Amino acid sequence: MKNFNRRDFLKLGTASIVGSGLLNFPRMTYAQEALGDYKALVCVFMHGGNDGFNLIVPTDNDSYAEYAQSRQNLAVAQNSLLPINPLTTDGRAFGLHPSAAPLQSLFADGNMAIMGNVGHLKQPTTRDMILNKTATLPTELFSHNNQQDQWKTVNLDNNLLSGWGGRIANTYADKQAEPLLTGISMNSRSPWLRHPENLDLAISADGFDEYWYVSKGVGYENKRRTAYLETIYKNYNNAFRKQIADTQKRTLELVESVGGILKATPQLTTVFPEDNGYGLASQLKTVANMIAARDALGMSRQIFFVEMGGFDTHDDQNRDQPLLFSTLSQSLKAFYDALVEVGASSEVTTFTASEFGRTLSSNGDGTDHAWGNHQLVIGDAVRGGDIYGAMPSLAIGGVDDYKSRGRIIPTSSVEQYVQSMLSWYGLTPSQIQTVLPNHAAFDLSKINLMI
Amino acid sequence: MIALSSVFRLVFVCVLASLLVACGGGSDPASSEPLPITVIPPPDVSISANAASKFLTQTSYGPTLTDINKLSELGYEVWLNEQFTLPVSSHYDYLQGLPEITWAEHVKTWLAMSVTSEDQLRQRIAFALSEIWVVSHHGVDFPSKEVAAGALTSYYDLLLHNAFGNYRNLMEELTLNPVMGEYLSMKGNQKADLAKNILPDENYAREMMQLFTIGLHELNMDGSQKLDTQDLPIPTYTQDTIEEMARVFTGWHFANALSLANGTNDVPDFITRMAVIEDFHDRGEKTVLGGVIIPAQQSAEEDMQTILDIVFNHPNVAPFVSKQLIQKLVTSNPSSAYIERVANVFANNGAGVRGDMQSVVAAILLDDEALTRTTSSDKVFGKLKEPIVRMVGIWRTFNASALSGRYSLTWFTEFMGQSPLGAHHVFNFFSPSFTPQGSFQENGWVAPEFEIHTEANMTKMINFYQRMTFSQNNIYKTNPDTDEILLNLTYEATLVSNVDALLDHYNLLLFAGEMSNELRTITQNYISTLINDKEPGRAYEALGILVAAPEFLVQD
Repeated sequence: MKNFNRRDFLKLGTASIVGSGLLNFPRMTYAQEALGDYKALVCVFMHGGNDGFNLIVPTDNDSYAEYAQSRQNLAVAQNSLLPINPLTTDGRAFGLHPSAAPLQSLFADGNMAIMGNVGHLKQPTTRDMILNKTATLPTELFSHNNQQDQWKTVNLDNNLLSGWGGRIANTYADKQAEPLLTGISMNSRSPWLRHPENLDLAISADGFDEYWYVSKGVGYENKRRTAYLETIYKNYNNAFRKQIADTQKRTLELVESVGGILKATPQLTTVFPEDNGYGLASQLKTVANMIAARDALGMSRQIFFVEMGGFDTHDDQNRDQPLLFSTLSQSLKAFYDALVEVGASSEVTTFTASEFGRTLSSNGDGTDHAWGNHQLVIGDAVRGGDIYGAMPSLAIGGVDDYKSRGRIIPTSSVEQYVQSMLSWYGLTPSQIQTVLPNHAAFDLSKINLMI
Repeated sequence: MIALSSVFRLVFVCVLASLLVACGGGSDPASSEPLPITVIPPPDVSISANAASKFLTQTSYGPTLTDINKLSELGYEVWLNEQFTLPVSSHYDYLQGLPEITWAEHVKTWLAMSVTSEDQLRQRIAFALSEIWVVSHHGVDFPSKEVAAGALTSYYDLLLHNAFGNYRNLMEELTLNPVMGEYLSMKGNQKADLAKNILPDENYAREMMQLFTIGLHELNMDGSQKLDTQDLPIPTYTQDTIEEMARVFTGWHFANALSLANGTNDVPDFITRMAVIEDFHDRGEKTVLGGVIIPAQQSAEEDMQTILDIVFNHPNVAPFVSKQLIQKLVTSNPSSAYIERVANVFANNGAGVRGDMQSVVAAILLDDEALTRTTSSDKVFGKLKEPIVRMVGIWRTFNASALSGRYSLTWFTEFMGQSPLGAHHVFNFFSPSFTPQGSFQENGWVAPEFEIHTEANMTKMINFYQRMTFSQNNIYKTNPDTDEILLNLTYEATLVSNVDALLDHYNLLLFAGEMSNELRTITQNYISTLINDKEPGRAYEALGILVAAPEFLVQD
């Protein structure tokens, strides 16, 4: 199997995973190439565009005054902010939104870092470059789906053939017992996980459902199962039929192999918070369950994609933000605690992402699509308790404003944000360049938030 | 009672009544009524039962024997014309007839009407439109389940009423609908107040252009992108355009906004077209889409009519809307020529009318590419069926009902990856450009519905379709609960001792006569070896295998 290439894997994967026995047969072969340790990256994507500028807020009087002047009736009260004490300082003091208390303790314990004002860029970009029209800007700025896609793919030409998560997974897929379990979304299909040579999975926060009518059973039920299997294992020439049959086969195989292993894994004792309709806690709990089963599944490298919506706060931001932030914070803290419980808190790094930040100006009771945004990185391998990157000016029309609505220009790129995590994960500098094709446009060594 | 606030969005100061400009009787921009299609039946219009079944797969939720017979006799054109003229089966009216409103009643209403109504084509077009002009109960906070049900069925009724009307009228009615106003926050959008650092909300201006009408890039009539001298796509608008158009969409609020503000009413009117509070409208000059300048001092209503005309007349609307409707009804990858033929009808129905949906729908369904199911050599014909279209189709084809007469089921939404007016964001359940990995990616074909056929949803869907057929039918379930929706397999049970006849029957209804020999053999073997040949259960055992088979999940 040494010459088994991933192109073949795809062919197998879409033709007949079960038929080839790929999920089972190569396990021993790949085990010889096992990496010997376990590492996972977990991307928590906040869809809609999180308002990071109300999650992490300047607290010293001068900086707060600038913030409050811009944010007006959407400003978080100065005396309600939860103080944090970063290891290094640029002279300004910062605090967290009052609904984010669990993050305050993660930060204080050194298990969480804050990445200041990151966003998707084509090149280091300043206000002057924008005003002089000399900047090369990302296309379709401020559009949700385009900026989501660009964040998740960071491809030079905006193609969606692969995401940077998919490119990470592709580096490891053929070295693992279960290639299919290398990149997993816990909800929707994500361009982040995509790669032309590997399949990515989209399972649900329920993990793997069982089949009600075609599971292995006795007598009559097995005959029914056989009939179902015959319909999905039949050869199809039509592209649509073949594609759906492949999905059916892949799903059945996963349900029956991985589903069983997960069921046999001891239940976590860590208590996860309520989902509050956002689904984040359930998704993270299932990720924690899969990580708990990492040895049983024979996995050494995984990446997970979880998501939470509801951040597009055009309306009622003051009403909705507390629940958004408390749900996010409690879920992230519970996930960290669960990783401690299963002994994986130094093996798993969790980071947040969002397509863009929000305007500092308001529309009366909400905010609009903007650009730069603060993010969080959590785990024992993270050089926590500090703020990375440059925190921007929050003045309307100030040095970091795109124009005059308080759309803050990112001071670090996605590439700069994630490169030290990739290095920690085990990627070589040249592999990192493959994962981040626009690497040359930025000084990647600028940010190192991993131990 | 919503708290008073000096901020318009949160409801307003008690503005003088004189500021309230009635706008309900606004001008009728789509004044030219679509012309009825003149049908001159060819000498022999009759079509085969299989062809009729296939056509009904595109034009209804699911073929029935009755519909197949009727269509076979009438032929495509006459049948279409009948569909165009059938009265609207209103979801709101159905709702009014219910003894009580329960949670998510709009979903149950949608089921009832989709399964049973005669105006099937109108219902399908409305559903397709609901996936373009997306609003969702996720994202609108209704004060009660009663208000939610009334609002969402009213919104759906607008889609139904405009399904064969004019797109310009659809644009206006949906733009000014209060559910849309709340969902994309145009309701309460106010002119700038720089002292408070308040600027108009860009949400509606952006999504209406990006998703509902013109898209991001300039298009040719065949749906392809126009390219500039450097071979790059040409954006249809800039951020400056959005900011200017955000100013156009200022000044609108709930029709009963004043009574909400003064406390005489505490339930927002989520049904009536939004009304203007002129004082909150930005009356300045604006430079909008295409560089057109809207002069200063226009009223909110005048600005609205102006901008709707400008957007409606943008050349992109014809290919942008035409292609998406083709994808929802017929094929995921229409040939360029097919898109262009339909877009040309959108641009001009032959009588000088732009946006005549009746002509557009006829052009889509009667096109050679749709009828012959062959496309250009670089494309693949067909599509994956949508999960809930499939589900409703099974119910319709096998005349499913509950003793209560209701279709009182909502938990399917957790199993299907979609539900009526239930997307999780304005980008719908799936993107029209989604491309699955494998042969689709290699060939550059899209297959939008695959985006929600995830590994997670696949198990759930198969479980649900098989539950519908194996367990929820009138043979297996002889003592059902009053709300259980059961397939009526009485007729099918009479065929069980003749497996060929049974499978021929299913072949016509589910596969338009094109069931593969292998699938037939698999099913035949299963039911023949398993159960004695008088056992009526054979009817549902066969069906449960067929509805989970790849051939049924796809429409090609």
